Amino acid sequence: MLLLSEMAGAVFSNSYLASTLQIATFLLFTAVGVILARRSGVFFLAADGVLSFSATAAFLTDAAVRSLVLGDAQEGTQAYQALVGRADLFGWITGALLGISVGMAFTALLCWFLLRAKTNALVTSILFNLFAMTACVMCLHLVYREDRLISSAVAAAFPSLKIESAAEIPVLGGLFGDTSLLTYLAVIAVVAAFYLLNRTGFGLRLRAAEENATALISTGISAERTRFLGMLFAGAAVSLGGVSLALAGASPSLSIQPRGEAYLALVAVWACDGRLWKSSIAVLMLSLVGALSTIWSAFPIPASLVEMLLYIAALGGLWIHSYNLKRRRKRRLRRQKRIAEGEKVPQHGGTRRFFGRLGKRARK
Amino acid sequence: MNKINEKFPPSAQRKLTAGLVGILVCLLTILLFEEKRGESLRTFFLMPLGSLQELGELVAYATPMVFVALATALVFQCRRYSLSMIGSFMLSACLTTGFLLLGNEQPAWYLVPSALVISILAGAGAAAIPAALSIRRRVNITISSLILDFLILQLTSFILSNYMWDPAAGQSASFEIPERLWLPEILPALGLRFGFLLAAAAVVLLYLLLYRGRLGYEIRAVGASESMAGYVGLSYGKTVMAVQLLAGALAGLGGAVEMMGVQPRYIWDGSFPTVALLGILAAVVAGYRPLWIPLSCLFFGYLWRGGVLLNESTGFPVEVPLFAAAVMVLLLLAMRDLDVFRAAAGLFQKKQAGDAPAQGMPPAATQPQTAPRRAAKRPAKAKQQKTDAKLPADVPDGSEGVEEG
Repeated sequence: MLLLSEMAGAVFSNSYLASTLQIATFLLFTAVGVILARRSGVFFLAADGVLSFSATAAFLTDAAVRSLVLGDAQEGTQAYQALVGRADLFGWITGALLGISVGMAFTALLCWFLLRAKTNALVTSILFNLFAMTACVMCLHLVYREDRLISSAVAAAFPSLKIESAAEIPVLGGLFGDTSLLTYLAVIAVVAAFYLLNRTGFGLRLRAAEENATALISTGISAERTRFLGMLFAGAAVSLGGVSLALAGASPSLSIQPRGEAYLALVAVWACDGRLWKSSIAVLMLSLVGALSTIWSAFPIPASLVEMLLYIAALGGLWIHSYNLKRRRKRRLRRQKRIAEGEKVPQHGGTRRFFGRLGKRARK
Repeated sequence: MNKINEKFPPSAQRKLTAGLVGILVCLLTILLFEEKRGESLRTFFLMPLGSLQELGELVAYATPMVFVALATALVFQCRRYSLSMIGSFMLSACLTTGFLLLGNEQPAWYLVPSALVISILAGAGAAAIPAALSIRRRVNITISSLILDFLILQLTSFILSNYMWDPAAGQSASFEIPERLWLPEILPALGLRFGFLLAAAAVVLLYLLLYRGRLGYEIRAVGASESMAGYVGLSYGKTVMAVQLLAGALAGLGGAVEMMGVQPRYIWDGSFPTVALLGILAAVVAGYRPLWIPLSCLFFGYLWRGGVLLNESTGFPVEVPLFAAAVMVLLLLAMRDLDVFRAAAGLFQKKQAGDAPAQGMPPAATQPQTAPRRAAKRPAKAKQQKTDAKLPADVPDGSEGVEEG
């Protein structure tokens, strides 16, 4: 009983929201990438491979550049103090740049398979993920032969925005107290993706490439090239997710155990029919569950069981979505039946009708 | 060239090339990153074939892989790309180990068959969840099965660390299953166990089922076109459920065979078993055809056994064979329609043509030589494809101009 109340108390601590944000950062980036890929007509199952490739590249480059700049300077000495700021700066900048470029190159390779060679999308993506998983683990083991946990590598963290006064707010302090810049960037990425998809010519062409490629081709635009460009944007977003997976947080670390982060983002997107705002909210909800494993790690409950909650939540989300689908299908059928019987049916249903009424009232 | 193609079809050429590249990747990785090169190469490539005992070990390594590959072949032939065989394999291996360790005092004649039954049930049960979600609720089976795999990964980690963990084992591994509870030996000289017979029977049965049976025809029909299968009166749900259950049971049986004779400790704490991943790759290499699966599994088993031996002697990363296999299969996909020998010969000829101007021959003269030959190989199909490919460009809508602009 005491344990339960303590566990509940941990949920209302500052660190819970902070770790939620950390998980939400890479999940948001990945979800944005998956949505962009979905708009390009690609089921981006290989996002997991892109994520692990970019995370590994970012982490290894960061650690290598940092140790290169630091040279032989020992920790605690004056030379170390003089160099460490510059080393960190170079470290995270090169790490992020290389992480993004490696992820995008990997996406381009995938595009060659899917769009040019036209191989089976699912089998190719599964193979790409296997390839990425083994390549990353092999790479890490080759670099740190004896070190199973990759603990000796020290990478510089992505800088964070510290607001002293905000950190003292009781529960919400975790949101703004010490948040990585990548988290703010993730929020911007969602808005940017919305703008790109819905407010630019390229977004229109991309949506056309998914929904009606024939119409697009008839206007003289190559659907394949549009899709490829869309996939590059998607790859960049997922690679940013990889970079934040490796470098966000106070002490960057890289786990070689697979956790299926990109699959969770895929679930969030698929359970929301690829809607940007809905998927972002779903991602936040998933990360609320995912953060439990971080804050409950000090309690005497098995970590695996808490980790399981995340996957159960994901499966549950898919299940709930299937009920929504069924209800929507039934509603459509009913509407068609009423039209067939000659009844008058309103043009729009649901929320739009509600807001339409509001609008009418305002006009009156 | 045509004679070679008749005797050695292009698909086999591609597989041979991919296999050679797989070996090359292993070779290069070891040469680049290992200090004692000669000894390591000998350990990796020759030791698995060194003695009769080692050969038997190789076959034993490949046996559980065959089950997973068969499950993958079955699922992928039906084109419901679920990956629940990894989860089925892990869950059944974990539960089998737990069952055998718990009932250690009971007689073997009772424990061994019940363990096999438990493994089959566990495997089928794990595969049934995404299948039911897909059939009843139309949830995407690939995503749901992957998420379920991760769920099972955490569940088995929990069971391992709380109920079966052997503190004396050094790494995170369960207690060892006593040797009297392993599957009975059938060929003591090679060290082959009853699992080998089970795998062979499964290969033959699956071949008969897929290509000689009614259910197999239904499976392939649903795989070819779901709506078409519906129109001719096949039940989509029943077929997919049967496929997933059968695949889960096969993968589960593979897990039991792995635990009872090959790998007596449950060791996969937080990472997926290499056997299962290699099994999926082996199925893709074999083109989802059951009779070719043992061959591809033996090849991957050879690479993997080499990797394990090298890891034991020098600590070289054990993932090298898996990496090589992934590269190999990706290459196989990339060479989808390539005629390897012909392409190689074409390259050679082009080189000669490139040398030709020095001797006073125009390079364009080689073009008519190669063109009729290509046409002779695939007369009707090639021509049709060519015209198809040209169609969009021929449409006078000015698309080309816009694209270039």
